[in-house]
Parts: sequence; C-alpha cells; structure tokens
Amino acid sequence: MEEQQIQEFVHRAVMDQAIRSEIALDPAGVIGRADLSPRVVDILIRLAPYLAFDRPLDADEKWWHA
Amino acid sequence: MAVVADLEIARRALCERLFGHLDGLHPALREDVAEALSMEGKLLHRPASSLDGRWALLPFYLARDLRAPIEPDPACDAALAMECVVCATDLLDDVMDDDRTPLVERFGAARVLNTALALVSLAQRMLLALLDLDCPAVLSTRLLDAVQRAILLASVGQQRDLLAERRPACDLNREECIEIAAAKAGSLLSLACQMGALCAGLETTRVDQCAELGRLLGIAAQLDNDAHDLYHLLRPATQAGRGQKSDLARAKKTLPVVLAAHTLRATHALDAACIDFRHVTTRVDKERETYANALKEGIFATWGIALLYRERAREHLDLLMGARPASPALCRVLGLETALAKIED
Repeated sequence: MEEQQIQEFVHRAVMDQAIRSEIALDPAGVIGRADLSPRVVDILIRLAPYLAFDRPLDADEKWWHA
Repeated sequence: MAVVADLEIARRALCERLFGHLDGLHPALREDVAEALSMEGKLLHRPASSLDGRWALLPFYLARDLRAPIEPDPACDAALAMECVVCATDLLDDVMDDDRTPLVERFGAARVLNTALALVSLAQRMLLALLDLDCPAVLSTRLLDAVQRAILLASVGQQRDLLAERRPACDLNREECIEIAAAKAGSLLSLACQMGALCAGLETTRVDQCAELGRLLGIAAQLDNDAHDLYHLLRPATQAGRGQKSDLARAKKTLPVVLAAHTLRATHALDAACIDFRHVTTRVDKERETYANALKEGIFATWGIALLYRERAREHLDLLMGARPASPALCRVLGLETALAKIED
C-alpha cells in the first residue's frame, strides 16, 4: 500500500545517516532504486531535501506549495 | 492575475448576497454572526486575500465548471450555506479545543456557541429559501440532506478524536487516524463538492464522484494540518502559535503522534503506556532527542501521506472533469494548481 511505502522509506531515512547522505547526493537514484509506485517516488523526491539535509519546514509552508 | 480578479468578482457577488441574508437576522444576533464571518479566511474578511471565503467559492466554482451556465442565485445560496456551516464548525472546534481565538477572547465561549448555532440555522434557512426561487424542491431537499449527513459525520469524527485523547497513542493505527481525518475535514470538503455537483444538476453517480474528490482533499488537508501543528511545537517558543494549544498539549492522537509512538515502541522498546509526548520540549538530552526524532519521522511520514491523498484527489478531479480541464480558479480554490497555472498567474 502506498501509505506504507512512504512510512517505511521515511523511517529508514530518519534512522540511517548513510541513507540520508545518499539521498543528499542522488535523491532520484536512491528513491528510484526502491520498489515504489511512481506516485510515491514523486512524493518522496519532494520530501528528499527535508529528509536529507534536515532542512526545516518553513512555518508558513503548506502542502499546496510543495 | 486573471485568477485573482476572477475570484474577487465571485467573492463580491457572494458577499453582496450574504449581506442580504444577514439583514434578515435579529440585530442582537447580526453583529456576532457578521463578525464570525469576517474572521481570517472567511468570506467577509477584510482586507480580502485571494482565498478568503474558500468554502463558499469551492461549490460555486465547481458548479460552474461542471455545467455552465448555472443558475447563479441558487448556486450562490448553496455556496453561502456552505460558508455558514464551516464557520459554525470552526467556532465549535475553537471552544472544544479551548483555543483563545480573537473571537473567543472578545465574545466569550457562550456567545461563540450561540453564534455557531445561529450559523447552522442560517445555512438551513438559505437552502429552504431556494423554494422561493422556483428551484425544484428536490434540489433544496438534497442539499439539506447532504448538509445534515455531513454535520453528523463531522460530529462522529470529532467524537472519535475526543475519545482517542484518553487512549494510548500506540492503541491507534494509521488506518484509524485516516478514518478520523476523513470524518472530520473530509466530510466538510466532501459536502462542499456535493453541493457544487447538486447545483450543477448532476445525477447521483457524478455527485458521489464529487463527494469522493472532497473526501480525498479533506484527508490531505487534515493530515497536512496535523503535521504542521506538531512542527510548530518543535520550534522555539517565541515562534509557537499564540494563544493556541498544540495537538500534543491536548493529547490529540493525530497521525504523526501515533506514528511516532509506534516508532518509539518498536525501535526503542519503550513501554506503550509510558509514551507521552506532551512534555517533549522539557525532556532532557538523549530522551529528548529520541522523542524528537520519532516525532520528526511522524511529521514527515504524515506530510508524505498528505501529499499522496492530494495527488489522488488531483487524479480524481481529472477523471471527473473529463476532456474539459478544471478552471484555474477552481484549481486555485481546491489547492490543486499546476505549476504552469501559477506562473501564468
């Protein structure tokens, strides 16, 4: 299920510094290698800057700006 | 700029019609109701931003997109009824959550509750008044039925949310959190879409499709709100929301909290009964870091799932509209603008 795919990938990224470093270098490559639906790939690529760089969410940032 | 101008024209027409309805209220009630409808995000808010009155604009533009031309007066009244229903539920939420909003501070909880009651009644009066416009009685009946169902469903969502406050976070799961989000925000956005479809004169199957669009968007919006609420708590106190309690402080079991709790139990072997996020910012050192990382994971996973529901809604809208794309104004109101539309704007 796509929700589960997102949860599992985020969990791995948050728990593992090595994965975060890989995402920082090549987000599309790392995310593309995982067995994910195209829609989930697109979403995770949008989340990648936050997962990889520990970039904080702007206080006013909303999903419709993502 | 064309979209903004289009929205402003529609908003003015809706405001003008709303003032007509407010004139029919007793003076003792009129000021409070008008004040509630003038709060930020509401139709009468000044100075107006492009999405003030969004809840009224949505059914109006959806009706227009689904079947042009539409009868403007019934569509406007249905749109205004939607605005009143949401304004009422927002007020009730504020009191239930003990949020010290500007209106609650000025009027007190009792007047706010009374205003909410008046707004629900006003919404129903607006829909009944469609009969005076020579609209088919079935339209008025179906709109009223949709409003009643949605309010009951939203109440169920709110009730489940309140009851969940007493349960350990690990007692809930992702599916239950999404069900609650669907009942809360999903029911209201679903109603807005249904009302637009009914005013466009669509048959039942298509109305149900519109309802599903609203449900998906509502889930996305609720999850997004839940994720951002938590993030505000993790920021420095000076940047936290003023006068509002966060979901954590209220022991709300939103999706990010539930996901974080499951992570803490599974990854750090914490006892489910001992997991408590309410004082995360005052915990020390390693424990704070453990809780903060779990919350961060919950926040990002929830945001990702919110984006997922938003994309499902976008695909659903494309199916609904068929060969004719949704107007830029409708996409703006739904929050489903494409990048190209934004550039042109």
